[in-house]
Amino acid sequence: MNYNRPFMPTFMKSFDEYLLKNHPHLWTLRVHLFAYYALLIDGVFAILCTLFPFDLFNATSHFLFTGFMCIIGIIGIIMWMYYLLRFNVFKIFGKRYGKLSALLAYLSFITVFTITLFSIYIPSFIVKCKANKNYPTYIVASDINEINRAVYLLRKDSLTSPWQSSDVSVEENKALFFDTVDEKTISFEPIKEIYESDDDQGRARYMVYYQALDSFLLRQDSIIKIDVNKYKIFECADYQCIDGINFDIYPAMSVYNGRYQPKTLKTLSNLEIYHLYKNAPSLKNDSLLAMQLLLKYSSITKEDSIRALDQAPSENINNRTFNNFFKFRYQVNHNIRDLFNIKEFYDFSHISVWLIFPLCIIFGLSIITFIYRHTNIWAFLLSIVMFSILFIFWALIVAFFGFDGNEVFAVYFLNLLAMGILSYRLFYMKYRTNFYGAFVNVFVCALYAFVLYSSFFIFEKLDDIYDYDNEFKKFVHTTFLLLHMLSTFFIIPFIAFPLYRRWYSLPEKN
Amino acid sequence: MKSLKEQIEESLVAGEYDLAIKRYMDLAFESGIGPHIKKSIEIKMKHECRDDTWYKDLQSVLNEKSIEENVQPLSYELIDVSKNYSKGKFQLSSVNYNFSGGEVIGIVGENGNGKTTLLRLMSDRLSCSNGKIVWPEELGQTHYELKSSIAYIPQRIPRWFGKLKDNLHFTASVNGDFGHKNDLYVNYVLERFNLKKYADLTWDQISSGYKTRFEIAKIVMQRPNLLILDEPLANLDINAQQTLLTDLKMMVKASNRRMTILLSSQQLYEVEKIADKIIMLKNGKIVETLNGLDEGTVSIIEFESSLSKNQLIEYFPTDSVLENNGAYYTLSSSLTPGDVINIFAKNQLPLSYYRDITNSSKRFFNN
Repeated sequence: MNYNRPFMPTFMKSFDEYLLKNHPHLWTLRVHLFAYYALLIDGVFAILCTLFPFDLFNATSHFLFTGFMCIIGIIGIIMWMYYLLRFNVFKIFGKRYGKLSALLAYLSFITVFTITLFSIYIPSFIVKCKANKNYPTYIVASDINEINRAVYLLRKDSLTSPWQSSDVSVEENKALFFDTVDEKTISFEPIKEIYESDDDQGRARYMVYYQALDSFLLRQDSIIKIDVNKYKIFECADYQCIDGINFDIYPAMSVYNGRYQPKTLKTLSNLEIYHLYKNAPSLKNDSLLAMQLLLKYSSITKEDSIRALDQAPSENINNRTFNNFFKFRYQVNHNIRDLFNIKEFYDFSHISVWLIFPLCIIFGLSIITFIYRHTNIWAFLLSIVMFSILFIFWALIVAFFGFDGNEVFAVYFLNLLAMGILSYRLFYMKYRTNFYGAFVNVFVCALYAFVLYSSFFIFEKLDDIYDYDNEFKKFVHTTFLLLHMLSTFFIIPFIAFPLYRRWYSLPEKN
Repeated sequence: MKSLKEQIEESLVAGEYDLAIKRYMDLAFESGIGPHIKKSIEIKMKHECRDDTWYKDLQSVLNEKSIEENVQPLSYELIDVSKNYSKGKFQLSSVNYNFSGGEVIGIVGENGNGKTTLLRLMSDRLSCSNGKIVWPEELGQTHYELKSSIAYIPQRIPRWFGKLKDNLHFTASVNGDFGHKNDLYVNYVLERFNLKKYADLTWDQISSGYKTRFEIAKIVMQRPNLLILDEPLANLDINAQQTLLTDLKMMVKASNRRMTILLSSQQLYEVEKIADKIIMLKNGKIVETLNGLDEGTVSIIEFESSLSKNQLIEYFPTDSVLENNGAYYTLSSSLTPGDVINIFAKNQLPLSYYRDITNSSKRFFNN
C-alpha cells in the first residue's frame, strides 16, 4: 500500500495500513505522514546544521537555514491541507463518524502546527547547542571578569574620570520622572491604597513608581544622605571593558520577584571592579591574558590572532600595541551580546509568545477549514458576505453612539445569541438552504471569537489586579490559555458538529 | 420463487459454474460470516486456477445451516409526492407508489421527465414540495441515519482520490469493519466484481465502466438497504451493461436485508430484463407502472419490412393499427405475437427486424 510514497519504510507502511483498516478518520487526517516526513526533514536539517560552521558571534548566521525550514514548513502545511480537504472527511455518512472524529480533526491542526513550529526552530536549537557547548556560560562569565580585571589593572592609573551624581528628594504622593528633571522625586505612596483605588490614574502612578524604583536601585552605586528627605546618588564610572550584558539584568529583575542569578554566573559591575581592585597593584607587563581572552571572542581569523599575539610578547608589551588591540573591545562586546542572543533563544520567557501566535493561526485555520468542509461553496461565500455586513453595520452603530467596551461586548453577545437561535432552527426544518448554512457558519465563527475574546477580557481584568504578583500572573495566564483551548475543543464536537451534521444531512430545497 | 441456495444448485447442475460461484459469494457476503466469505473467495480462486476441488467445497458449504437466508421485507411508500423547482417550469406531480424490499425497480422515461428528481427524492437528497415519503423504520429516523442507509450513485460519479483499494479499505472501516474483516470484505468485493487487477490503480487510470463497477463495489461494502442508481448504464459497453445488471439482480436476490434497487436508464430492454417493476414517467407524472410479468391485452409488435404500409395492412385483421415510424413499423393488434410471425411466414413477406414489445415500456414511447 502507498508504494509510491518516497522514503517510506516498511514500518510506516504497516502503520499507515493499520490506521486505514482500523482508525479511518485518523488515517484521513494524515498527521502520521506529516509527522514522519517532518521528522525526516528535521533530521536532515539537524545534520546539516551540525556540520555547518556557523559564526556563533553572529545571531543571524543560522537564519538562512531557518528560512529554508519556514519555506518547507509552509509547503508541508499546504500539501497537508490539500490532502485533507480533497478527502473531505467531514461529510462522510456512515456508522463510525462521531464526535470523537471531529475532535481528532481539530487536534490534528494543533499537532501539525506544533510539529511545524518545532521544525522551524531546529537550526536555532542546533546553533544554541553549539554555542552552549563551545562557550559555556560560566566560562564566558569568568572570561569577562578576567578581561575586566586585567584591563582595569593595566589601565587603572589612566582611568580618572569623575563619578556622576544626582540629587533625589523622596516625597509622599508624587509621581517620579527620573530622567527628565534634575531634582528627582520618589513617591512612597502606600501600595495597598493604590491597589484599592483601581482607576487608570492610580494604576499609571503605581507602574511609574515601581519602574522608577527599579531603575533607581539598579543604578545606585553610592548614596549619601544630605538631609531628611534628600539624597545624593553617585553613579560609578565605566570600568568595564566588556559589558556583562545578560548577567546584570537578573539582579535588576530581582527587585520584582526575588530571583537571582547563581553567583558563578555573576559578572562584576563597575562598582564591584572598583571596590575589589582599587587597592591592587597595577599590571604593567602582563597583558597577554587579557589579549588572549579578547581574541577568543573576536571575529578575526586564527592566523591574524596568532600574528597579533606574536607581536605582543608576554613579558614586554608597550602601551601602544595594547591600545591598538583594545579596539577589539567594541567588536568583542557585540560578539558576546550576539553569542548570548543565540544561547538564550530558548529561554522560557519567550514561550508564551511562541504559543500564542501559532495558536491564533491554528484557531483561524481550523475554523475556516471546518466551516468550508461542512458547508458548500455558496453557503461559505454567503457567510463571508453576512459576516462583513454585520461587522460594518455594528461598527457604524458602535461608532455613532459611542459604545464603551461593555456595550460592545453586549452587542456582540446579542448577535451571537441571535445567530445561535437561527442556527438551532435547523432542527425543525425540512430542508436546508444556503442562508441557514451561512447562519451556522457565522455562529460557529462568532462563538470561537467569543470564547477567545472572553478569555482575554477576563484575563486582562485579572492581569490588572495581580500585576505585582508575577508567579500568580503566570498561573492565571496558563490556566486561561488551557481553559480557552479546552473550551474550543468543546465547541467543535458538542456545538458545531451537531449543527453541521444536521445541516448537510437535510435534503436540499432545489 | 426459488431460494438462492436452490438457484446455486440449479446452476451447478446446468454447468453454469461462474454463475453458481458468484451467487454463492453474494450469499456468503450477506450472511456476514467471515469463514464463509473467506471460503467463497477460496472457491472462486480455485475455480480460476482450474483446481477441481472447488466443486466439492461449494457443495459441502451449501449444506451448512448457517448459510440459510433470512428474509425481512421492508416497505417504502410515496404519498402524493410532488416537487416544484423555484426556477423552471418542471413539476413532478402527485406521485403515489408503494414497493417492498428485495426488488429491482426500473424508472424509465424520456429526458427531462423527472427520473432524476424522483431518485433524488427517494434518496433524501431533495425535499418534497408536498406529500411525503415513508421509509422503513429500519433505515433510521433522522436524515443522517437515512443517508447512511441509502446509497445514491449519481450520473456523474464523484472522483476517488488515492489508490482505489485504499478507498475500499476506507469505506469498509468507516462502516465498522476493522482489521482482518476489513481485508476480507475488500478482497471479497474485488473478487466478486473482478476488479483485483485494477485495485492498485488510481481513478484516472481506469475506464468509465470500471469506475461504475468500483463505485458499486464500494456501495456493496456499505450494505445499504436502498441502492439508487441514476443512469448507471450510460458509460458502459453492452457486455459491461449485462454484467452490471446481472450483478445488481443477484445482489438484490442474495440480500438477507431485502435490499432494494432503484435505477433509471434509457436502455429499456436491458433494464426490463432484470427489473421486477417498471415505472414510466412522462411530463413529471407516472403514466404506467408495470410488473415484470404483466401482459398487455393487445399485442404490440415492432418490425421492419421492405413492403409499404398499404401492402402490409391487407394481411392483418381490420382492428389492427399499423404505424410507420420511419425506420420500422409498429403493429397493435388482437393477434398474438406467434400469429403475426405465422402471417409473415405463410405469405412469404420480407422481414428484416422483429420485436415483441407487448410487455415492454417501449410501447409507451410510441404514443
